[in-house]
Amino acid sequence: MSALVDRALERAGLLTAARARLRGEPWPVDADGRLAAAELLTVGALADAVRARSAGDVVSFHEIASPGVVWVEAGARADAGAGLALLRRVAVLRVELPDAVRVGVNYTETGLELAQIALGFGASELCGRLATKRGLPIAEGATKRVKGRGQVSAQELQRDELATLVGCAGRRAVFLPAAHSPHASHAGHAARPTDEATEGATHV
Amino acid sequence: MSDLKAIESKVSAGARLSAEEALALFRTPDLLGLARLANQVRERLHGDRTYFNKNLRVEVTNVCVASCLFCSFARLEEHMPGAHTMSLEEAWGKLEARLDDPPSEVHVVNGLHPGLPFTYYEELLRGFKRVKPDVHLKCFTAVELHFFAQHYGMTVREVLTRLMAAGLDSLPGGGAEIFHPDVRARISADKATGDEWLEAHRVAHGLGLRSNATMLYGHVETFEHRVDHLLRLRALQDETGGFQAFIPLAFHPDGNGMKNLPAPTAMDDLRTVAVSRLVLDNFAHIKAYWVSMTPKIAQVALSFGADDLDGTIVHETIYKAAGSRSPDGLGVGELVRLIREAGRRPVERDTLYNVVREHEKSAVPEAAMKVRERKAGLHLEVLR
Repeated sequence: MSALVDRALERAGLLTAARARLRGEPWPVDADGRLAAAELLTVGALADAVRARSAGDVVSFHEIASPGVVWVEAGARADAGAGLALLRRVAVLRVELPDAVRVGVNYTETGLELAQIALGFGASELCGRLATKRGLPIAEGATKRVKGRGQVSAQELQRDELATLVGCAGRRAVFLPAAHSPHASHAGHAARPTDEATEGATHV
Repeated sequence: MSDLKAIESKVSAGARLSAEEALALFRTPDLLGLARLANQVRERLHGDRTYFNKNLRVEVTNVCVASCLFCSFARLEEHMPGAHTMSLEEAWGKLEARLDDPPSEVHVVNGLHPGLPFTYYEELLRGFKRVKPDVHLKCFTAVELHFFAQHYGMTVREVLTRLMAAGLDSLPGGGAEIFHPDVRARISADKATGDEWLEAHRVAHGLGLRSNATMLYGHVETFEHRVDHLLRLRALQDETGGFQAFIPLAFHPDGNGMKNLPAPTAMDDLRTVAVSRLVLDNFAHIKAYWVSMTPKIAQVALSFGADDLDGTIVHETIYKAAGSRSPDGLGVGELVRLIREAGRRPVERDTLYNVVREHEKSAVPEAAMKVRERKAGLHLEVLR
């Protein structure tokens, strides 16, 4: 982390705990209060460093809200005002939870813009529906004519857009199939997140 | 991250950043480090105060002789589908309809209509003042003023003098797009050039008017073009001191001549806000225009150097036409909540940044409280 962040962590009384966390030690419970009260950018910078340590530059796309990931919800009042609340929750959870537990957001719920920003605050996992700009789901067999490429799968195009969005955040997208096998790319077909499918997943 | 270290010391000392340093800021991978620097400047200038106003947006005509590639709002001729021009009574009626909770400002931006007499615009302003004599009229971009001058055979000074006599109080910042001629020739070749835009504001400032400035980013321009744009604005502000706020405007691609381009991402939005705050050291205010970037990202931008959310707007059609998913308007309560939840103090202002009402700041940001409440539950205990 930069000297700027170190100084901010020191002012918040978090520098020792942060350094230990970045060595892989658990976050001390007695520092929770200070973390919750710390300035958002400070918590975010620490969370981003923890994320880099635990998940590297990979952003995994899940077709369903998989178990093993803590999915941070935008909250009931998602239309406006929930942006900072979501980012803070993502960041705090990334710092407090063990490295093995990943933190993610559902971009269908938060919107792609906020989901992208969450990647800078500790999130490494994304899930959501493949949908048009207006939110309509894209059928599996739907195609779109692309200059120079002919008819291309609309779902594939959407995945390309998502990968570009992740690339703009300085990260690398990996699309996991429904079976959650790691390191698969652009594989499988889209399954809708349903109550049944997301059973066992953790939402906070 | 190390590229920010040298810049950090200059920012802390309040020193001016160079073009090279501005470019380095646009290119840094350390987005949160950039945010911290911008936030440092924002808090040095304004502390926790975050501004908004009660305004009404009126676009009286979308008929426009210019053919800007990024525009989804304009129609070339009056008879084309989707073309509209309000009668004066219709325009004044927009304000009359709001008199139960009146805005302090009417913000008028239009297409460059070739068929209206100049007296239409003068009467438009006079009528608004008849409806509400103390309303502030922030009307007509520099591009419109330049068009009026050419079309009606006057100088920009003469245009402004007549409009001021009719009630004009200040100028909005639209029409700036990207000043650099290489970009302007590609996206908006047939309207005021960058130099002409700047000259119109120079003249307005000389006449005692205050104005805002914008930059439309995220289309075909490069970071070098953005830096050039910011530096030209900074130079004019050094000369006149007449700008109040800078408003970065994100390009939206729906329904226009650049619909094949992707819109800028939220990270680009936040980066541009932050760099603007750091480079424009002589601008008092940086706006996060929620119509352009959505209320959620605008709220986040309050931690990236922005100190103003613009206003209630009520009914905006230019960004709507280009695919913006922001709501038509936000109530005062909603703006206050957005600001409070960001841990800031909401300040309702008038157009000239006089304080109308200073709201209380929440003792603890609601966002932080929610985390604590969640932590009282079992979710995390199970996982830890």
